[in-house]
Amino acid sequence: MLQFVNPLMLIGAAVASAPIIIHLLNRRRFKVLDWAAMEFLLASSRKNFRRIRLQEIILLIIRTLVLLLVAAALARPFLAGAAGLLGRSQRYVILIIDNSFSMGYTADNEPPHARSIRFAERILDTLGKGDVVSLIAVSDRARPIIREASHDLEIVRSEIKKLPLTQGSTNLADALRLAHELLKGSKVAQKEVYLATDGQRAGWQIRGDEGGELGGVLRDVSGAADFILADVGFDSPENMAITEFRSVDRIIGKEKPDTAFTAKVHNFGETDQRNVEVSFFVDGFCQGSPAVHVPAGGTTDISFSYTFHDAVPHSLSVKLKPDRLPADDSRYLAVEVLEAAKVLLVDGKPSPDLYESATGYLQTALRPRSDEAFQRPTVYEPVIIQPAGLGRERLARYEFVVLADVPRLDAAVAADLEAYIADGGRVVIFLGDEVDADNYNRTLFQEGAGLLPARLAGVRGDPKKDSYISLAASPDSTHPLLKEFRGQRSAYLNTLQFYQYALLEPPERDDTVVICAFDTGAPALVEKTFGKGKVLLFAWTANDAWTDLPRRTGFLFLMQETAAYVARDRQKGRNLLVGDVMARSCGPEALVSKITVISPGGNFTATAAPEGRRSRLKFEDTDLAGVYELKMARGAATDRDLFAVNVDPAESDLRRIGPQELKRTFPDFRFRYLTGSAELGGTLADTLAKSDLWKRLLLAALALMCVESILAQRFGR
Amino acid sequence: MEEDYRKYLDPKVLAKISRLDLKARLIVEGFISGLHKSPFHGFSVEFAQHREYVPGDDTRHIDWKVYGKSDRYYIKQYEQETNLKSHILLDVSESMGYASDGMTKLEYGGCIAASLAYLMLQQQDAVGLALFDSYVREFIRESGHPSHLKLITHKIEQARPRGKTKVRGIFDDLAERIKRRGLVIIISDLFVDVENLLVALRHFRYKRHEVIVFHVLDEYERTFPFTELTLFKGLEQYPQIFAEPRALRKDYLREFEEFVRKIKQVCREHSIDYVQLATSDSLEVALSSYLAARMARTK
Repeated sequence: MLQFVNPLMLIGAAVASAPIIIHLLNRRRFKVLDWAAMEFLLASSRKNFRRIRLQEIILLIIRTLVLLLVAAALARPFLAGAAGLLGRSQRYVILIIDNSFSMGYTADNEPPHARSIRFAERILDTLGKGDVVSLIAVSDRARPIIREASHDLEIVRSEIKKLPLTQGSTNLADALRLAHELLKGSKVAQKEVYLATDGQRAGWQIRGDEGGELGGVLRDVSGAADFILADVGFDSPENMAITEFRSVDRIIGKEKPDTAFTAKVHNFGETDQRNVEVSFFVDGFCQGSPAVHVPAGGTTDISFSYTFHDAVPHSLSVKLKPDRLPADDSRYLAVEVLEAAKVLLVDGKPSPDLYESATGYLQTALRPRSDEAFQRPTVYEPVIIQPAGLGRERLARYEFVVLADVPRLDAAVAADLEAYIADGGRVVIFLGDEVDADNYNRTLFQEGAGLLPARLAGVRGDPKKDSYISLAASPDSTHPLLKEFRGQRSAYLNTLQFYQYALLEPPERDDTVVICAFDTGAPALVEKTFGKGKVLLFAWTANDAWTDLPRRTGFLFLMQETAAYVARDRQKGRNLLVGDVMARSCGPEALVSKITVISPGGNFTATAAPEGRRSRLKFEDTDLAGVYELKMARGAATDRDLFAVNVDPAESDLRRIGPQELKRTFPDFRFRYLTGSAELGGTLADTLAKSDLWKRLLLAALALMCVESILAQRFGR
Repeated sequence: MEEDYRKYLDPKVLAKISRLDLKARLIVEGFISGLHKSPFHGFSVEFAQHREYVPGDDTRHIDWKVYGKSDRYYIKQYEQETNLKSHILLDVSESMGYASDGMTKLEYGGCIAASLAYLMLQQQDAVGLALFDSYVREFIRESGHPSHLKLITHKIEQARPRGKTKVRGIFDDLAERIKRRGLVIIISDLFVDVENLLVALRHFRYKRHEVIVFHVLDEYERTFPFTELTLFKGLEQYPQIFAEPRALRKDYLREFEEFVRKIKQVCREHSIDYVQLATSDSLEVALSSYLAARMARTK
C-alpha cells in the first residue's frame, strides 16, 4: 500500500499538467507563412504525420511523467509490503501497549496482556539495524517506558518482557498525545505506531473533558504515521464486577446502630449469574456473605450495615469470588467514624425556656435525648451561641452553621460567613420576628451577589394564628432534603400549618433553586450554591412562633435530612481511583514528622509541603487497588489514617469496539486493524515493512529527463 | 571618385534600386568592371552597301570618303550581324513571389533576365523574352536592337506573380515558336513535376537549342530553418498545412534534395547547363554562367 509522508506535496502534481497546458497554448500561438515549396512540405508531412503525432504524444507523456515523479518524490511516498523488492529505509516504531487491568483477563488461552507482549516482540523481530523504537505503556495514564527512540532493540525487548499488568483504566488519549509528541520530534521518514489493546469500548469512549480530543489526537497520530491497531482481546468475555461501594451517610458516627453501606454488583457478561456470593469485610474481618442473583448485563444492589464502636478510621471491602478478571472483584472503602460532628446554632432569641428560644426544637431534632420516644442516636453535637459571639467563632470547626432568628449581621460577620461557605461550608438560615429584613438584604443578599438565596420582602400571614397555609405537596421532588416526603408521604406536607411566613423573592439565577413552595405558590425553601458551599433559607422560624412544624414528627426527619444533606462529606477524598493523587490537609507537625504509607504494594514514605500555616500531604503511588494506611508519628503517639484506592469500574466492561464502529466514531482516524492469531502472527514482518521511495522516484525523473532530451534531439524538437 | 559598380551585384544593394533597366545596367557594369578582359573585344559589324542620303537620315552614317570622291552623300549601311539569338523564359508563377527576406524570386529572376538582356544587347546579340506561368503571358520576339532592352525591362517590371507553373505545354509551344536555334535561358524555381520538366526540356534540345536553367530558389526553401509552429499557406493552389517545422525539416530537406538531384540529373542527361541560385546569392554567378555558355556556343 502506497502512503505519503507529505501528502500535501501531492498538490504539486497539478504542475504535471504544465506540459499539456504549454502544448495547448502553443497550439494557439503559431505563425502564418505563405510558402512556395509546398510540395515537399506536403510530402514530408504525409509521410510523417503519424510518426510526429506519436513522437509528440511520447514527449508529452515523458514530460508530464517527469513532473509527476518530482511531485510524488516531494510527497515522500513509501510502500508498505515491498521490502524485499525495493530494499528498506529506516523505521521509527512507537509501541503502545495497553496494560490496564482488563488486559489481565484470563480465558482458556493466554491473557490479552501476554498476547500484546508477544505481538510487540514480533514487531521488534521485523526491525533491523538503524531502526528505532519508543515504548509507551498505557493504563490510567501514559507511561513512557522508553521515551527517546532507542536503537537498542534488546533493551526494548527486555522492557517489554518486564512490562507489568497494572490496575489502571485505559487512557488512550494520553498515550496518543505522547505518541504524537514523539512523532513530531522524529525525523525518520517511515513512522509506525502500534497499539496493542484489548479493544475495550471504554478505552475509546469519550470521557470528561478530553471529549472530542481523542478524535483529534487519533487523526493527528494516524496522519503522522502508519497506525496499526492490534486487537488482542477476546470475543464475548464473561466478567462480574463490583462497580460501586459507598456509605449511605456522609457522616458516620460512633455507636450509630447499623450504619448503612451499599454496593453494586454488575454482570458484564452474557449469561445470568445466580448465587453470587458477596462478602463484606470490616477491618479485614468478614461480616457476612450474602448471595445475589445478577442478570446478564444487569446490576444488583446489595446493602450492608455495621455499627462502629470506636471513632477511628475503618477500612471496609466487598469481594466476589475471583473470576476471569480478578482485579475488579473487590472494592474498598475507607471511612472516618466520628465521635461527634459539631454544629453551630446561632440563637437570635435566647430564652431560659428551651422551646421558647429560637433553636430549642433544632437542638432536640439534631440530638434527640435518649429518653425521648424517638431513639435515634446521632453524631451531631449542637453548640449554641448568641449572635454577638458569632464573630469570635472559628467556623471551619463546624459541620454546618444554623442562623435562627438572628436579628442582624454586621459586614465583618457576613464576610466571615461568606468565606466559610465559599470554602465548602454550609449555612442554614431560619427567619423570625427578630430578623431585620433590610439588614439581611443589604449585608447578606447584596442583590443576589451575597450568600442569602432570596430577597426578604416582608412577613405575610396572620399573627393571631386564626388562619394558616401549608406546604405544597410535591410527590415527584427528587431533592435529597425531601427524601422522607416523597410519593404518598408528600401529603404530610399539606397538613403542616404556617400562620406566618417570610415572603422570599429568589433571583433568577442558575445557582439558586427553590426546593419547595407553600400552597400559595410562594417559595418556602430556597437553596443557593455559593463557592464550594451551600446556603439553605427557610421561610419560617426554627421554633413554633410562625408554624406548628417544629412540634410535629416531620420536623425531626426534615432536620435530620437537612443535616445529612448539608454536612461535609467526610468520605470524599479518602476514596480514590487507581492513579489518583491522594492529597490532604494536615497540621504543621506533618512537615517534620515521618509519614509512612503502608500500601498493598509495600511501604512508602510520603512528604508534606507547607500550605499557609498548615501543610499539605501528597501521595501519588496509588497504582494498586486496596486500602492504604497512613502513619504519622506525632510525639509519642501515632496518627493513623486510611484511604482506599479502587479500580475504574468503566474498565470492567470488556465489550469490544470493532473496526467499523471505530471508523464511524472517528472518521478521520486511519488505521490498519489486526486481530486473531493469524493476523497478529508470523506474516507481519512482510506486510508491515515498507520502503521509502522518493530517491527512486527522483532517479526515475532524472532518467526520464535524459530520455526526454535524447528523444527531443532525435525527433528534431 | 569612381563609383564601385561591383556592389550592384549584391541583391541587397540592388533591391534599393527600383528601375529595372538601371538595375540591369548597373549589374552589367559592375560585372564587367570586375573582369580582366572586356568581353566586347573581337566583335565587329560587317559592311553591307551604300545608299544615297535622303533628308532625315542620321548624318553620322554619311560616308565622307565617298563624298570626297563623288561629291554625293551616301549613307553607309551595315549588315548587322547577330552572333547569337537568345530567349529568356522567366517564370512568373505565384511561387516566384515568395521571399523570405528582401527580394522575391521573381524580382531576383527579373534582375537576371534584365541583366542578361542588357549584356546580350550590348554585344549585338538578339534577345527575346517569354513570361509564363500556366500560360505564356508575354512573348517578345528576339531582336538585337538596343531599344529592345526598354521593352524587355518594361515587361518584366509589369509582371506580377500569379498562376501555377506549368512547363509542359508551354515549353512545347515556345520550342515551336522559337524558330532559329539559339540559346534558351530558363529562369524558374522549377516547382513542377520533374517528369513534365524532363519532357519540356527534351523538346528544346530536340530543336537543337542550347539551354541554360537558372534555378532560382529562396535560401529558406533550401534550408527550411523554421522553429516555431507554423501554418504554411500553399502558393499555387496547394492546400495549407499546420506543422511543427522542426519535426518535418529532415524529411523536407530530403525531399527537396531529391528534387534538385533529379533536376540536375535531367539537365546533365540533356547537356543542359544547370545553375542553382538563391535570392541572396550574388548576380555575378548568373552572368558568368551565361558568358561561359556563350563562349562555348560561339567558338
